[in-house]
Amino acid sequence: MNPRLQLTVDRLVILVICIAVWQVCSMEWGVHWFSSPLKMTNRFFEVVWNGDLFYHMDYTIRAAIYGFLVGGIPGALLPFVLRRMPVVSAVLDPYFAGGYGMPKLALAPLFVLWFGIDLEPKVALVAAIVSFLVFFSTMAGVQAVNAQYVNMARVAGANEKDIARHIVWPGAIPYSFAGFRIAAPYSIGAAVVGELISSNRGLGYMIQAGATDFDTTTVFVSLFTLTMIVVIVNVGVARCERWLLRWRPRTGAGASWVPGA
Amino acid sequence: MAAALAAAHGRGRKLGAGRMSAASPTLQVSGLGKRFPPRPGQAEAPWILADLNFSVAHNEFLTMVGPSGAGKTTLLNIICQVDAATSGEVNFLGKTMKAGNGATLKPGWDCQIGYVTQDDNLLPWRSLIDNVTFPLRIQGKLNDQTMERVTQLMKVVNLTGFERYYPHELSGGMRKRASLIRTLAYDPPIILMDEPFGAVDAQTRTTLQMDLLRLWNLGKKTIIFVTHDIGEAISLADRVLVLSRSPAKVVAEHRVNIPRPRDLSNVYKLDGFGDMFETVRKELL
Repeated sequence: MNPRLQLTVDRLVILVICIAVWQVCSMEWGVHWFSSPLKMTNRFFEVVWNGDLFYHMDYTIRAAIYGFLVGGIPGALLPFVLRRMPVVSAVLDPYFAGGYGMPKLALAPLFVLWFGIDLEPKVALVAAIVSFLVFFSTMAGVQAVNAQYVNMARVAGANEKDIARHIVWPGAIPYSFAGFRIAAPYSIGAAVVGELISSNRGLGYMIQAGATDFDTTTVFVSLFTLTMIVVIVNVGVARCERWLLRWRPRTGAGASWVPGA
Repeated sequence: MAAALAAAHGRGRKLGAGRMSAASPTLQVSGLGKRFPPRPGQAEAPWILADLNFSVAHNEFLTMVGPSGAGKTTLLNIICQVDAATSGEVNFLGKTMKAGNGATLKPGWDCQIGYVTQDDNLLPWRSLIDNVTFPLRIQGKLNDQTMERVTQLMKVVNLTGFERYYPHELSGGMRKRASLIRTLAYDPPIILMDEPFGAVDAQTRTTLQMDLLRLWNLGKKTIIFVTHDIGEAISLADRVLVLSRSPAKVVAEHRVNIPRPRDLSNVYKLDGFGDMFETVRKELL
């Protein structure tokens, strides 16, 4: 059998085993605890048909994307500003470390107080998490700039702007992407947590409402949908990275590994 | 200050005295000294360079040979203003760089001095052609005429056809040649070379040396070439300076009269090569 087909078959076998275990669990301990593969599939198509799923998905994805942009863009740009200000950078360093160390999910209730219960507190929560992840990884890239490249460019007549644009920026992109790669699934996760805490819409709300109603089928549908979203997002980020970093050898140090990509 | 300048010039003449070329020096190094800031617990850092004097004539191929760790790279870094001198000065085309703290350095003297470093320093995210044209692009001088020149240089060093390759897809020798023509492409009057062929095998090295001499013949320019390889120093040069161990000083000067063009694959058989090799070897001990 050819290796590709073999791989697909092996993967399907694992899937069948998982579904079988799930079925056994739901038969042994009751459908109200574990739902069942068939019930979940039925419910999944039901909420797809009646539009409920997209109604909730739309909300969660919007919170994640807005938060990702609001947090990620400043997080990726700030290191370039700080590069030119070593004193400011040194002064602020412990505050960045503190901000990074603070468990951001614990801020969710505060954001609800400040921004209400609509999309804003979720965006704020996602942004708070994403900004630090992207900032620290980009900062590492900016600091790891090869001094020899900088000297080469200076001798060739480059000014500070040229160096930022042609040496520091392209050198830092792999590091920024390491941050994006971690931040992308976190942004979905943070949006869901925000919805768990207070919301009347979103996949997080679906989970919360389902669990409150003892409706485990709805919970499983939401979890399944979230998993699919995150997998697709990961593959998208990896594709984007591969295109932007096509100058790098595919394997070797620094090559990124993304599950599923 | 004027007195110091005059003294520096005087020293330069003394060293230059007796040379057959009458051309005025293009670049002059006077009383150059360098030491780095002391390490913690160290009262005073040792001098890497101390009272170094020499000059280079227009279109001269000068090589400097010295043991590893003699401060050769430090010297070149100072000459092209990547690093500041602790004492002394460098004069070049009527301009002077004095010892200082580095705040006023102008790396490359406004693109007048090119520098081919030990590592090729090709930017990994730029294709070969984009690397070679990088200085031209930065200087805003990339036009049909300079592009023509780049194409010509690519052809001379056998890189035609690899324009769109990224550095990691090229061999070490190809990368060396690319870094060489990257500097030649914008045509600075002086080029400094820091053991540019240090990291390649012997055959590739000979090829690269011949490429270099061919390029130098195409458009003569002033070259200061630093190496620890005695054979390389003699076979390429118009004049060889022998440097001592750190702190580096010029301990001897030899004019190489082997006629050009030189066949570098057989340089060991050329007249006078063996004797000079032996003399330099002893001076380096």
